[in-house]
Amino acid sequence: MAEKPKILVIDDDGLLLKSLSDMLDKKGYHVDTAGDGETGLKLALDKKPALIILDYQMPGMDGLTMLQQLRQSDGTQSIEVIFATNTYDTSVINTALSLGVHDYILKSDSSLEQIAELVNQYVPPSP
Amino acid sequence: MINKKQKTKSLFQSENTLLVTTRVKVLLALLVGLVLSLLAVYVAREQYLGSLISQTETLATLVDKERVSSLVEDDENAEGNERVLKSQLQEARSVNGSAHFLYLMATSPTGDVYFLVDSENPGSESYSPRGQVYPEATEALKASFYTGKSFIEGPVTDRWGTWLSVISPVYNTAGQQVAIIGMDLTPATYYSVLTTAAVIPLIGALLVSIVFIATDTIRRRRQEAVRMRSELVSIASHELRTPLTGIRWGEEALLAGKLAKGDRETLQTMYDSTLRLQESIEDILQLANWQAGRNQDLVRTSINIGQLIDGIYATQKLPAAQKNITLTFGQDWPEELLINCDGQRMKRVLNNLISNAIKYSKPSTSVVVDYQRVDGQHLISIKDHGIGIPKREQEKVFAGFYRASNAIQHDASGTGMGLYMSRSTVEQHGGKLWLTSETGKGTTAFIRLP
Repeated sequence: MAEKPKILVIDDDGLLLKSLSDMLDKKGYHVDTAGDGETGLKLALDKKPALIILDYQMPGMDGLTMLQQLRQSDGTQSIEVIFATNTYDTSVINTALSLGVHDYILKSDSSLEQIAELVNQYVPPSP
Repeated sequence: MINKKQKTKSLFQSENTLLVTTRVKVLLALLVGLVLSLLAVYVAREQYLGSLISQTETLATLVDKERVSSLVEDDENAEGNERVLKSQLQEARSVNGSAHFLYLMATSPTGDVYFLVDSENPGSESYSPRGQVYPEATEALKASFYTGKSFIEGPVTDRWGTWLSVISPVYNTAGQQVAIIGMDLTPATYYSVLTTAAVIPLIGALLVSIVFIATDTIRRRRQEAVRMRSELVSIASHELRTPLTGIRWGEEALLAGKLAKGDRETLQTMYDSTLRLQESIEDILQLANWQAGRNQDLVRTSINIGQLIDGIYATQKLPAAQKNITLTFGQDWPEELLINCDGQRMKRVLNNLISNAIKYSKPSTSVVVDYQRVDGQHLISIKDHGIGIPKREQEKVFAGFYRASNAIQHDASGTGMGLYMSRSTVEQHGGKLWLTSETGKGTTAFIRLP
């Protein structure tokens, strides 16, 4: 049986984290989750997921900082990153795009289906 | 959540250090004050001492030359002349408030300086009889008998106290200097003149510095208030959007599963309401962002406009259905329309125009969104068959906080800010937003984008 592609979701809101990971799990992905930047970074380096859905506003290390640190580490260049935020802070988003984030979404403006389609564009789920 | 606490804490920390430029300004003000102070002291001193010399030189000219010569030669009329001169000196002193001692002095061939007559009565402690040597005479005083120039000396201390001495030459009828006239004053006035001259510019500099500091403080407080307002909007945005996202995704997850028909209908209504609520909140947040003066730079990505409008149609289903309004794309609408623009900001524009179209449409009419390519640019149109806008109000509706007269009658709700911000957004993209309208027939909104 083909291995399910790995996705890492990092978000400090437990409710949203669960909704996203449940949905992605149903679509056929192997989903790891983290509630803050530091744990997320560790998991990313450890599990080397195919794609990360990354929140911005988190306690401690925020999403951008985590992303910068991730990009500095070896073997992480091929990881796709989707930046997911709920504040439409244009300077943050433009910074994220310049840091090599492949796409960004405003969570409150996206349906779960739309997110699944977006993820599918970068990482097709296992059949 | 810890995140919220961190943000709130930063809101209430204010900086108490002065801006560098204000420190420089204050320093300059104090420096200028110091320079002006020194200048003022110099000028005041010259003026004051000058006037003292003037007074003494005047006295010197009024003293009877023959009587003075008589005292110097010590002839047979000396005693009488001494009495007359003394009473004159006393009278002069009584008129001049600040003079303490007035006296005439001469110098002997041996170089001693001695009194000819003073303004004191015999019997007083400070009386010096004619001929009494003044041993405390300074070199300057001794020299003054030959220089022919008035001068001021002191404050100098002698056995009678501390004095400022003003000395002026006295001549005989032949024009030779035979004596000096001296006026001694207490230094009190001199010191107070200098002090006042020194202090006034410094006080001025201090006041100017206070003004600089006060205006700096006011400016910083204002900046702080603006910053706080901006942070509040940012926090509010997050706090409103996050729970709503949770509700929406929860509803989507349920709708994706198996449900009884009744439950599905209920849940679908809830979902439609949720989407409408999200749109309303985005409108309000945009207004709040604008009012707080927050950075409104564009985030440009490739946006599928058709999908964007589909999403807007979905949230407008209910209000449209209530008036039996149909929402459609026109014949020329392309299969896939991709425009490089800020998706979130353009969504607000299209939402505003489409919801206006529905709001002001007459029942059972259609709202059509269409597309044209004109001069290499995109032209999107939104046409309704509604109440229209009176001609003289067609530009005013873009002004902000303005609603057309017939609009208010038709529907009481609305902030009047939608078109102002929509036009602002389109222009920020380098495009143009305008309306054509006829009252009673309808309105068409046009968006041109490069």
